[in-house]
Amino acid sequence: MKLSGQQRDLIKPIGISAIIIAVSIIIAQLTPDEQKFPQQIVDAFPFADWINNGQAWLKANYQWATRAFADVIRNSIDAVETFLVLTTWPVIVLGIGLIAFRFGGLRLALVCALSTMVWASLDMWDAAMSTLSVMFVSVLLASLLGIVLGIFASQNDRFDAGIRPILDTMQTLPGFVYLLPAIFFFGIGSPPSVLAIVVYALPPVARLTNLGIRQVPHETIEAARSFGSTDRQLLFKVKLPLALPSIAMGINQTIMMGLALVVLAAYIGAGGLGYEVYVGLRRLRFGQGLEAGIAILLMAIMFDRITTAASLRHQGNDPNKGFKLLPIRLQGQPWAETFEQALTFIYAICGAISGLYAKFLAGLAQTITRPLGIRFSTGLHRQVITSGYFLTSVTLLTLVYLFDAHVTGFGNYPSSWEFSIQKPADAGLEALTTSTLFIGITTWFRGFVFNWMLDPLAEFLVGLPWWYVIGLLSACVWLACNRSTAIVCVFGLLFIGATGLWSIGMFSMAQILVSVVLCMIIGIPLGILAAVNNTFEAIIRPILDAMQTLPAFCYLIPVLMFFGGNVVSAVIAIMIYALPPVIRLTNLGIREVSTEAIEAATSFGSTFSQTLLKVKIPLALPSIMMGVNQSMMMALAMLIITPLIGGGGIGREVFVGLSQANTGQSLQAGLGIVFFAVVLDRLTQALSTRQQKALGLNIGAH
Amino acid sequence: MSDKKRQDTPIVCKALWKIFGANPTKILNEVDPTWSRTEVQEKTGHVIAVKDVSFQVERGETFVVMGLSGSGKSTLVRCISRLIEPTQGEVLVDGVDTVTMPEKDLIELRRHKLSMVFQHFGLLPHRRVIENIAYGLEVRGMPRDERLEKAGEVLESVGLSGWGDNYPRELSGGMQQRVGLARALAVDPEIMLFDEPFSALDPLIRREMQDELLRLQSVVRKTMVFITHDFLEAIKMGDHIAIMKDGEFVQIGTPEEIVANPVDDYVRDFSEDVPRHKVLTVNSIMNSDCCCCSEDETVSGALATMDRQQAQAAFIVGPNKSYQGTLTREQAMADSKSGSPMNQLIQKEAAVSPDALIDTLIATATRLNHPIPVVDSDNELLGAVDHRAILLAIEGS
Repeated sequence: MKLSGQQRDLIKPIGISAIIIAVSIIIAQLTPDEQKFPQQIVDAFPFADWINNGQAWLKANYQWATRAFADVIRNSIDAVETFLVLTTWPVIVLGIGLIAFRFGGLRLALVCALSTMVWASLDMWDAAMSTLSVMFVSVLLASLLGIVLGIFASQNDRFDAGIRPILDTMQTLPGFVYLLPAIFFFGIGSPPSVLAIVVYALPPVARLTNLGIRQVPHETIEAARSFGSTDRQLLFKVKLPLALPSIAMGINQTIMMGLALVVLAAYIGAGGLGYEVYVGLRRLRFGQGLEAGIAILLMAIMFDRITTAASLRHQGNDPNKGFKLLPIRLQGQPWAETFEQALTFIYAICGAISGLYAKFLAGLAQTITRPLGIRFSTGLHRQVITSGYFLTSVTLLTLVYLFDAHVTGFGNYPSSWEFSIQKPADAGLEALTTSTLFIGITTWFRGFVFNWMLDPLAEFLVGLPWWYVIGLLSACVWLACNRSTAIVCVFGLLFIGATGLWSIGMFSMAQILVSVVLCMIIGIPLGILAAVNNTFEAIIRPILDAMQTLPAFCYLIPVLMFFGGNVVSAVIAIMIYALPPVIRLTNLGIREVSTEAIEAATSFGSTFSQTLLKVKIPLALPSIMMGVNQSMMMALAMLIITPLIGGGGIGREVFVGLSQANTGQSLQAGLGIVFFAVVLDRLTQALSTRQQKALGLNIGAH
Repeated sequence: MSDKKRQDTPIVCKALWKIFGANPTKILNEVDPTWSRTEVQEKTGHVIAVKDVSFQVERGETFVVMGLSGSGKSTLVRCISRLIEPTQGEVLVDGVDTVTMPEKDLIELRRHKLSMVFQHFGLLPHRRVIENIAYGLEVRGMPRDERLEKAGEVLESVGLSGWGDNYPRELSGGMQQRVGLARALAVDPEIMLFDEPFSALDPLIRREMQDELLRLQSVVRKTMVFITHDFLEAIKMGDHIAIMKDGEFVQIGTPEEIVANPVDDYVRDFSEDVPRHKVLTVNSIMNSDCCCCSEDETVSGALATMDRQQAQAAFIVGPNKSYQGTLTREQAMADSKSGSPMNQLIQKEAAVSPDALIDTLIATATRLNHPIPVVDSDNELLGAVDHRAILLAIEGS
């Protein structure tokens, strides 16, 4: 059979993998005993002790400083939380609605206001306010620090090169790892979570600030310079304003990462919504956990949509164009048009009132500040006029607040509006878990995954000699990437061995591989289906969006309920969490195959399935591979929290270290996961790039 | 050149070099002047963008630098305002060397003396049109109301009244470049630099913008340096043109000189496509040896002269060869017997200046059967242009 060069490039990796697997099986057979990492090396490398000693020293000498810092953070969180809890609920709902309205228009405002009310309805108000206050303080700190770092990095190449690897590492390290050192410096509760969030969530905003500034078009900068801008003028008048959409995207990512961690922080004694989930998980109260999960999901959606809308707005997207509330497809329906016209009229009235009010305030401010100089007062006048929306909102909120405090209190959230899905949820689960059919299916599935996938693979991997695994993986990385990455890989794997985590690490590797394979088995067909069927895509897209905004923690509850607490549940939880990117990128890859290629295939008389199998899927392979890569990264992040539902492996080490106040143990396990992440990431990425090259595509250019 | 003269010349560029690469200064000293640009790049890894360029721009003129992409023209114009640091050489703006100027002075120079129009407009997308135009004034520190008022005036002068509150993205390409032009005009600079300002525009819009700039230039009379890769644009806009190739100036001259006397095949390649009658002046095709008679002669005497020279008309001159009018053969024949005085028969029309473009003669030539007289500003008859010469010029040989 003759193969074209391209086909050869695609088939080669498969052939090579087959050979490698065959060789590995033979080697595993030849070395029947478990090839443990030499104990002498492990004894000579007490990494955990070093960390613990260092920490003890820091604790002894600098605890006063860290504790003082913790107090500052605690006080600010308390202040925000007190404010949020004591303020009557309509003010909060209105305030969130007004913020959302500012950036995203009426639809988003209603969604956000209703979400806020759902917190109250589910009786999660205080928990939500607590989470909000931790989020507020930590995101504020992370964004400020991140933006400053990003600005510095954009101005100085050397500084940029210096902090880039640090940021990379900070982001790859699972967020959970930060909670550990944070406890010891800052005690338990909210302050360490704030610190952990700041460290964990700072990279995206720093990175995107830097990127946004560096991506300002060269000609724009040149034009500004040609008119005699100083460096400072260039930064503040040109670069920063143009980087705003990018910075907003960074803050969006920072918020989402922060939310993921703030939920997790329940484990170290922080309250809030995460605590509710945690309690549900601990006490096997499915309904309670589910309610808290919904509250978190609503918060995530709210944060995500508001910040995305803010970023789009900076790019010139006006949310108030076209239909304001009704779906755009109703355009042309007379009643819808009338309704929207009425809305426009109301907008105009509100706008006029707010404008008049701002004008009045501006006039007042100008008159009062006249003695301070005419330029100051006219400047203030202009400022006040342009911030009409803000001032009107603040006044409105104050009025509602005063009305509540001095005229008639709104009182508590009306109890008739409260609802609970705990009972039906619990009942439903009860019915499901007692049905023999369901038990039969889950038991069979559990058994199948364990007996036919996880167990043999884990045994096989643990049975391989350690030197063979290190050699093989490093060689692959060397071939796929370059020598320096391969060296990092060797040291990383040696580190895992030397810290005594070799067998556990191989077991985790098996967990990851099985999860990702399951992801591919389920996700790729779903992605293909979504690509060829628009209705299915329309259904699955919002589900995927929700799945990706939901913090990893929340996936544990249903899995625990359905499959119980064991190793397979962990694999299933990982699989579910890591599923969205595979579906999404399979769909995207197939949909982005050029129309020309499809037309060409069709013009030669290909049937639907021929076009799909011979043209679309092969051309979508690199994109699918990128999905697998992202899945793998998410799987590694999830791995660390699966011990909560009985997952063993390297994640368990982190938890054990945490519960025994052994930072060193936790940290070395966390680092182990990071090294696995580096190896797997580089390999899958290199594979995707290679396929792209073989197909003459360029996905990264999007 | 005396210092005084230097200060009167807005831009003087002397032996300017720009080399891109790791160690440009070292390469500058080491490089063999006979090496071509490709050779230098192969041997040293450095790119010579501007190679030993010298020129000067007089006040109020438009100096066009024309070259193909990669010829170094955009680098050259950036060296003038030091958006790109020259490797070696002098750039004197009003007699002051910008190359050695401290950063602070340079910023002042950019704020007050120079302004630039960019190929892709270089507008600030986050600012309204009016704020874009006011940008140069803003960084100078002009108070807000004052600078917006000034920007409004300039906006009007480029024909964009009413667009001030729009964002650049809401404007068409041509309108965006009008904003770019307005922004450069707003700071009221002495010198304007144009880096291929119209090459991103559609041909029709481009022509419109060229005419607009010529109109503005006739009002504001700025010193302009204009970069283009379009030879016709160069001819149209330039008082002087420099042809640039591989970082060097191949030829500097007026449009006419370049079209009439290209120094080498490279320049000739460009000039061949040019409609010569739109570039060349009467001067270049004029025949100074024409049939002329004194106004004191009789009509029959003049007719005899025409017969002798086989001419269709005689040009009648007074003292100092001052042109009085034309006597055509038909007229002379019809009136030779009546004895009317000469000055009643001659027609004093159709004389042209030697600086007129040949193009402007065509309409006159179609009306007349005889050569067109050429007179200077003192009305002295210099010669004549016959139809054949015009056709030859159009044909291009």
